[in-house]
Amino acid sequence: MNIKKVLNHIGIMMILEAILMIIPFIVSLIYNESVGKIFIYCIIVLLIIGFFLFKFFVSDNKFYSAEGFVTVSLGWIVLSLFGALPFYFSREIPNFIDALFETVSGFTTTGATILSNPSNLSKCINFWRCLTHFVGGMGVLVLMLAIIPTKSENMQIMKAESPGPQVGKLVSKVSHTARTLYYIYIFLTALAIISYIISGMPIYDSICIGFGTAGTGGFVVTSNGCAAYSELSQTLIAIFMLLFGVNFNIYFLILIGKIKDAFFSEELRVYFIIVIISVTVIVLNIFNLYGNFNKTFHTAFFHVSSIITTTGFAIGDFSKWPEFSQTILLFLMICGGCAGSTAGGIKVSRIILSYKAATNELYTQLHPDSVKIIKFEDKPIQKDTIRTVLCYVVIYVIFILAGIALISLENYDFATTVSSVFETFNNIGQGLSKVGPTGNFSIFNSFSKLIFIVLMLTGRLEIFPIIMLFSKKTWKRSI
Amino acid sequence: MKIIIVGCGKVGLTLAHNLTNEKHDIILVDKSQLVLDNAMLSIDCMSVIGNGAIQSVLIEAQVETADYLIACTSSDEINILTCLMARKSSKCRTIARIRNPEYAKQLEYIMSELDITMTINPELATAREILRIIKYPKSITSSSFFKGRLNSLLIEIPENSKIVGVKLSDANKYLKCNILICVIERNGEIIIPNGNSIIEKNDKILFVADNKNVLSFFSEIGYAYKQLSSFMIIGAGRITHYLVNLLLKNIPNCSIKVVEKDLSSCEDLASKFPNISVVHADATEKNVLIKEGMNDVGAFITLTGLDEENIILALLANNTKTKSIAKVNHLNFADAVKDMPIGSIVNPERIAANIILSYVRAAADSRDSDIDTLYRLFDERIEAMGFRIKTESIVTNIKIKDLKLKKNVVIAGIYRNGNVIMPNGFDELIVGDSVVIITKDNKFKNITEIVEQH
Repeated sequence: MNIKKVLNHIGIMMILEAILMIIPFIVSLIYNESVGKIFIYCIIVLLIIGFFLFKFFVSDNKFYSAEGFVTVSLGWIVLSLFGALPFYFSREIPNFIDALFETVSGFTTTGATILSNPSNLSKCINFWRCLTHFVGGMGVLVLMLAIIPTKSENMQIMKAESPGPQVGKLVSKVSHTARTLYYIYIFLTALAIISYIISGMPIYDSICIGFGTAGTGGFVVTSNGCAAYSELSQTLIAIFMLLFGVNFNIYFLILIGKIKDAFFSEELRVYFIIVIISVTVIVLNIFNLYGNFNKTFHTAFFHVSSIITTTGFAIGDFSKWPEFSQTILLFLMICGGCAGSTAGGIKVSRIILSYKAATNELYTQLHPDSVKIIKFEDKPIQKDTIRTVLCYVVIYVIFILAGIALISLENYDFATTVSSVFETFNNIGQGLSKVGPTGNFSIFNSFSKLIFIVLMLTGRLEIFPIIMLFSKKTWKRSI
Repeated sequence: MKIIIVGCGKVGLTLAHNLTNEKHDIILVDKSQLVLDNAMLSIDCMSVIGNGAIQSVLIEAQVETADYLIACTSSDEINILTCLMARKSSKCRTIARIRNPEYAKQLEYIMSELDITMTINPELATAREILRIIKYPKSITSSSFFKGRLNSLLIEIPENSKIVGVKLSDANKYLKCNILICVIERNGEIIIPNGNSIIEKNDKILFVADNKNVLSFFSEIGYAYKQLSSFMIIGAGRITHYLVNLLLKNIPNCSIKVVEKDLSSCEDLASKFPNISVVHADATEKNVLIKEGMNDVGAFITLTGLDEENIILALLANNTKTKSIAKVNHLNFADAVKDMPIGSIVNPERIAANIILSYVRAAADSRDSDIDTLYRLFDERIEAMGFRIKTESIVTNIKIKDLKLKKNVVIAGIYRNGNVIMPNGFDELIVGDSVVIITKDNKFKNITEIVEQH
């Protein structure tokens, strides 16, 4: 374990976080909020520690996958700890566990909150809260790779931080790939924010909701969520949420003119088919509640889009929906968006691969000598990839079950317990029953909140990096 | 530049490694996912799985926008086909590894007909490197221009050489040979000398000369060594074929003995080169080498397929009288044994990779310029570049002494109608000449830039 190099990278990340904190400070100046000076203190602390790590831990040694995993998981933890400081020091979230929960929920783009009314927060603090979504969506380390000149080792970091079973490069250099991803990300976010403003949303809300949409986070700035905005704005939000749930490689393909390839992507097709089927089924199921087709469709589409992309915005209380529709939403929570997007969940591509592996297995049971190759996006998939995907699903289930067992100690109803674990682990931020659109996480005790923090981080980093961090083998001298 | 490398063997990976460090965009193509996965861990590049000779694979590797394609799979035919397909679907330049001696004769035809920019033959390149080691053992590096007719060599002046203290303008008269000293390195400082410069002991000098004059210069300055003339070669592979051919051509009256344990290889070699002695025996067996006179040869060259055998045999043979040269394919082995008492180690993959690298580097630097060949010497502080003069210009038809050359520029050699001219002040450049320019701290794209312009 080359801990020096890891600490060096974490130093750079902290400096980056300090730079990012300048933005909410500027917001505090605009709104003339004295609480903004908190950010100056945090920036100073981050810069001092960051520069110390960056300057004093220099190593040219090689960087292998263990270092990549540890950099990512340790980096995210450090980032969250320091990101929580503004909330804590400003006394707007007086409990540190709560502040940490809120920050982790932000960086992991979960959007679960312990606040009953976010509009009570000062503007700059609330802005920082929403900015964490934007930063966490594409990944802090990817941002680091995009900015600093890099070497080949950084593919390890990119692999550990990016969601999805297969991490490809768009162009041959990691740093160019990271930069391209960020360009696309920033462009789409800007597009979202501008269209929100045009649709009549207040500018501050547009930017915050824009960040929430981009990172598929789900923090809102008003007490009644997205219900506060016009129907046009809500439709735009729903559409942009869907767009951010799409694999960013697709946008790259469109960018370089391979539009045909982009639209024939298997994952994209399945993703849209899932959305269409879910909307149809839910519309049929909840039609009685609203009575009006337009209203029903609008509500169903908004929530399906919000849940499958693991954003977690709400315009109504879907906990009041019939059980069937709620179950569909629960399924969508597990499914999640496309690989290589900012969404959480298992990811559509993993679902497709697991399904194909399962059908293949059934076939080979009947015809033991048959040779079958699993193809995805028209390319044969290595057995190793399939194995990793299946392992991922198994570990995923284990984490969910363990989470449910630990949270059930609180003795809430089943829907609350299960959906709270689902929504944190899949980084959605919107559950059912007591953690539904009208509830929040302040009902849980500190122990449960810590469990949720771990679940959110594990879910965002796709399990393996966090396990590696706590695995003894990672830290031993490699033998 | 964007470079596609087809085939991720030792050559391909060495190239990819070096070229990514030099900020080029690399795309690897190989049939094996495993090889690519391993490569991607240490090299910042993209990879495409598949056979590089298939057009769809090349298109996936974005051949349309690539500047170079280097085909270095183990198969000559696939390499040729890959280059052909690449040329058909894009404007990229192609480099192919073609190693079969049987194709060597039609190489020029293949290159012109299929529009291949460069071919590299690792075995032939290795044989040439061995020849260089045998011919100029004291040179630090050497490079050649005009298809090998003009050499530039870097050597260190021995302490009590008679050239020490001589003015450069008198050097040729004094030494009775025709050479041109272009660069002097003294205490780490690099000097482009003029006629009044004086050579001191322990200087490193770069000089250019044709083949004949190199040797006489060596003996004149005090490297009085006898040209090695007896060689024992173990193994009769491709390198041996090339090497025997080169030795017979370049070293007059040499005696060569090849020891090979495979009978048909022996017969093959013996029928090709009737003037050498071929021994059918296992070189690793006791007394075989002693019996064949291992201790009396000038150079003992081990070229079997096994690195271990080559290293051990070379260790066995190296003594004060015999210089041993071992071929080591495995890069790790080559690094591990470089401090052992073996005369020299040659590594075909590294040699091939270095040739391609220097070519690609030169190409990257000489884009949009008229430079044909470019070498960098003295830790890249000196550039030696070859130009072809295509049109009349301010530098043509004027005596060199009348040209107002920029500072630190030397015209080191002219190639005209198959003859090398060592230029003096009274020579002129004319259209159709090829010229070697050696320079420090200058970047030229065009031959006309060597003179001061107002």
